[in-house]
Amino acid sequence: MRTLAAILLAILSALIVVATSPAAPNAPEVAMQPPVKGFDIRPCQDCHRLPNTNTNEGVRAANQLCLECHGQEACAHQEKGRKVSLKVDVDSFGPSRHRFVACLDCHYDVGRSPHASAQGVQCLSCHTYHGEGDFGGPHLSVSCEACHNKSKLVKLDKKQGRVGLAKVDAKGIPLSLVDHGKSDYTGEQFCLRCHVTGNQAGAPAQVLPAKGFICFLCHTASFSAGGPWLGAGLVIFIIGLLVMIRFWLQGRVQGEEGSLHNKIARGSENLVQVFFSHEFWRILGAFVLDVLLQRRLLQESVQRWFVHTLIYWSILTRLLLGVFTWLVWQAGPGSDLAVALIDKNHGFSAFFHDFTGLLMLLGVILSALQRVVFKPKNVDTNTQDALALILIGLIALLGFVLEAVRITLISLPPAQGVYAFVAYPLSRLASGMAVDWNAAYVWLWYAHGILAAGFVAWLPFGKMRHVITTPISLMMNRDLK
Amino acid sequence: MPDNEKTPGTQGSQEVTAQPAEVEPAEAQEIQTETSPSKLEKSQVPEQTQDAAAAEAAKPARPKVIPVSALDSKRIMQLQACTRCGECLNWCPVYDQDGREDILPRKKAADFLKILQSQHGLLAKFAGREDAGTLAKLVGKVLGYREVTDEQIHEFARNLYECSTCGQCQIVCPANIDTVNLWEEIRRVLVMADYGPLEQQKALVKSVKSYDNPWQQPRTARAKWARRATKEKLIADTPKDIKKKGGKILLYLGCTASYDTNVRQVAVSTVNILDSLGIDYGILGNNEACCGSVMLRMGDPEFERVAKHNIDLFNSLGIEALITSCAGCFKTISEDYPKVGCLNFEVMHTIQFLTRLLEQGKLDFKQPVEKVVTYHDPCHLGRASGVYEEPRIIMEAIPGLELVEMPRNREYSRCCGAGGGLKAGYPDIQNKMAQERVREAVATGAQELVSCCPFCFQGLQVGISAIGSELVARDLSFFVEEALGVAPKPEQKKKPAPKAAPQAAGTPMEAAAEKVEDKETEPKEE
Repeated sequence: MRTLAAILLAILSALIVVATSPAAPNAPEVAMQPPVKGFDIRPCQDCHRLPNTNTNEGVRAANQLCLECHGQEACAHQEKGRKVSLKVDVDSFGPSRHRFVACLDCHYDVGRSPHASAQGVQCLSCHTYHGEGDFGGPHLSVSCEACHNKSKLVKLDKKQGRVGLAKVDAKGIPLSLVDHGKSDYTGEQFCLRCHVTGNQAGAPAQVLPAKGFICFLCHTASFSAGGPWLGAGLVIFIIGLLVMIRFWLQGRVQGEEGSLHNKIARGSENLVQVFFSHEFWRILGAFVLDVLLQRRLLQESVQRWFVHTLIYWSILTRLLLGVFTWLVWQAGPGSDLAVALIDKNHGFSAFFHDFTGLLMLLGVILSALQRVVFKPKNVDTNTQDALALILIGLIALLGFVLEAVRITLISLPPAQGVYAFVAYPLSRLASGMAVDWNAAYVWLWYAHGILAAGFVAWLPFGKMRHVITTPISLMMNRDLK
Repeated sequence: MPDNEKTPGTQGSQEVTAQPAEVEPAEAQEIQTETSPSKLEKSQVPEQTQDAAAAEAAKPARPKVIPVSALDSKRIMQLQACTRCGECLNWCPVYDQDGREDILPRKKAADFLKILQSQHGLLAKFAGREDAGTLAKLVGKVLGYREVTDEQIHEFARNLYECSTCGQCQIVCPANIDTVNLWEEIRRVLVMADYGPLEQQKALVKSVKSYDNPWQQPRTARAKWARRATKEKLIADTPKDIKKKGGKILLYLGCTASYDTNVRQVAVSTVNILDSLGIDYGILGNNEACCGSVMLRMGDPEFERVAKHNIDLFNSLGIEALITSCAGCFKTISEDYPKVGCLNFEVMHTIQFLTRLLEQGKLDFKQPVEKVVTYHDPCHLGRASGVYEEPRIIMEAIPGLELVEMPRNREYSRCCGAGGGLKAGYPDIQNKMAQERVREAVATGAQELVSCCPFCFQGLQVGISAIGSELVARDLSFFVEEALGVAPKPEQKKKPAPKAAPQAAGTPMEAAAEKVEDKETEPKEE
């Protein structure tokens, strides 16, 4: 009797294995056969229960069920006449904490009939997106597994506008993606699965540095140097600033003519005193009215105020939004607001950046017209003035070109593209051109970045230092009529 | 000249600038007896500058070092706050007469910045040194180091002094650069480095140092106007000496109203007004000394000494308030003295004082003054001190008086060019500026051009004479006196003064010369 039972159990087990195996040639779509009714060898609760996956025990119990099949060598399915293994190697979870995570916590839509995943693995139910500083940008349209999975074949899904793992290799041979081991993403080598010439992911043909600190001027960025060029710009800017302040400090400070040390002491003492007095409100008033709203310029000339404000407020609002985005991100990485703000393709961000960029360009053009065509008698253009306009204009222009190329590369759908009302039409134009945009993007990016770095580096030395000195003057002379 | 020997200025000036002190004794005599500042300009200056130029051509002098530590650091910062936008070009009253870019605030700021950078900038530390090696020089050149020559600094000084420090540029400056203080402080360091003031202006400064007034008149003659006015029955009695008899209010007359017979009306009217209102006031008489405005505007570092002396004197009087009818003195005492020392009294322009009395209902204008006038805001009263409305309130209150504004009024009032040493340094430009202002006044259809400043009175008079206008320059105190009905009988005697000028018409120089002669003959009579 015992022997009979043992034999029966063995047969049944074999039957289940065979039944769940997709090897059944007739029904490749149905991954798993429903349990045959009438048998009570196995309690229903073995499968139909909800183990507490918050405990290691629960995880183990839940995973055991999955591994009953997916632990078997024979677990595979047929695709295009080829057998693709579905056997999960438990050891490939390695030392990662994922070995304490239930399969169903990631593959959450497979625990039903039919046994297939419609949405794939859901990393974002636990993890957040990368911020602006990591890996040169947020990579919002790149699925996690595109980088974190060991499979190196990555592809842009043009319908979804997302970069994910390729299901077939270059020759059309289906790939098995069961390896749960993490790719080694230290070092730049791993970026090369996308960032190479002729990639399928719509990525630039080279790894570009993250946006550095100086990029805050117009974009949300990170507190990093951002590669040698941007870093050099920042360093020269800081040196220039120090040299400038040192130059001012050759004069008296609060009547102190002696050592630099004393001057700094007196100066900062006075600064603190003024700041923590009722004067603070008057300084604030001057800051709002004179610095932010440019009241004094408006009093003299509405036209000049308008042109200046086009450039000034475009940059200022971009700077403010960039800093705000950074703060929101720090407060809650991955929050809906934070993700919407760092998403360049989000309707608001796309519109905002195109709009301010356009105003900036308009300001530069009007200003250039004043200087070159209309030439009112008070306008005298020297190299510094020309350089300032050319730099700002070029940087803004290249910004638009860059955005257009990016949109071309990622094949942004028109429904999303409409918000980028300048860059999207440009991208249509670009996609019609026979240019290797993956490679061109790199060059354009460096041109934009290096010009911006140059602009920032030049800031304390030339005409543009007025963005530092003039506000100080306005706040300092708040009492003057 | 008994006062000449112990000039309080000499010691101080030796400390800071050697040159003016050296020449002083010899030249002071000459100026006093023979010539006026404006004459001096015509006769001596071209030769001197040529000589200087010739001397420099012979040996390329290394520029003298500008004492940067004497500048306030915020001034240096503000040099860099200029964006060269050129708003100053649209408004500068001097530029309207001499359209040279070099005299524009934006250019002066840039030029002085270049001078400072060539001497005190980071690059100057190695590339600008006399013993700098070829490599250092080359590196400096690549990084943009530019040397500034001695002659360029002289040139800059000439441009800097071609400015009446009227403050119009500051009003219109979108960066709100405190230009007046900037120009004055730069002038001060230029004087310290012996680049200023201009030869033509030295007499003025020297006169203040020697005689405590810029008009080369003896100290003892300061209160003479009062004695004469009493004799002529223009005023009831000589005002009491505040030092001896005390008083709640000090009437500070200022040099111009005290010494210039053409402007004497200002002093006379003020005294009559105060007398009629029964104000407890007094004057300093011969103890009054120049407020030092001339020195401050032209950058003489001795201003501080003059200011200190006056502050101590004023503070010792135990007065409640100091009032003055001179906008220049008012600005200097109320705005500039507090930087030197504390004042224990209130400082008011007479017009402010009268406005206060008017508001208290103590002024009763019973005599209508049927005149159409226009008002010229003095730079020092308006832009520098923010007193725009008080004179208009007074004029509004005077029955019959109709005020027609000029297109440029209040903070945009066009400077007549009399201040800041411009009249001494560049008389013809001042003349043209005054003409421009007078033409503006004439265009309003007004009969009289009213102001609140003896300096403006002088300056505008130059313009009136030059274009032979029928317009009469007036100090507002004159109308107040008339409206109060307090002017003593022999009013006719006062009239010749303003009328004398249009007769002299001809060239401005003649007019100016005539005026000075007028002044000079006066003290000699005694």
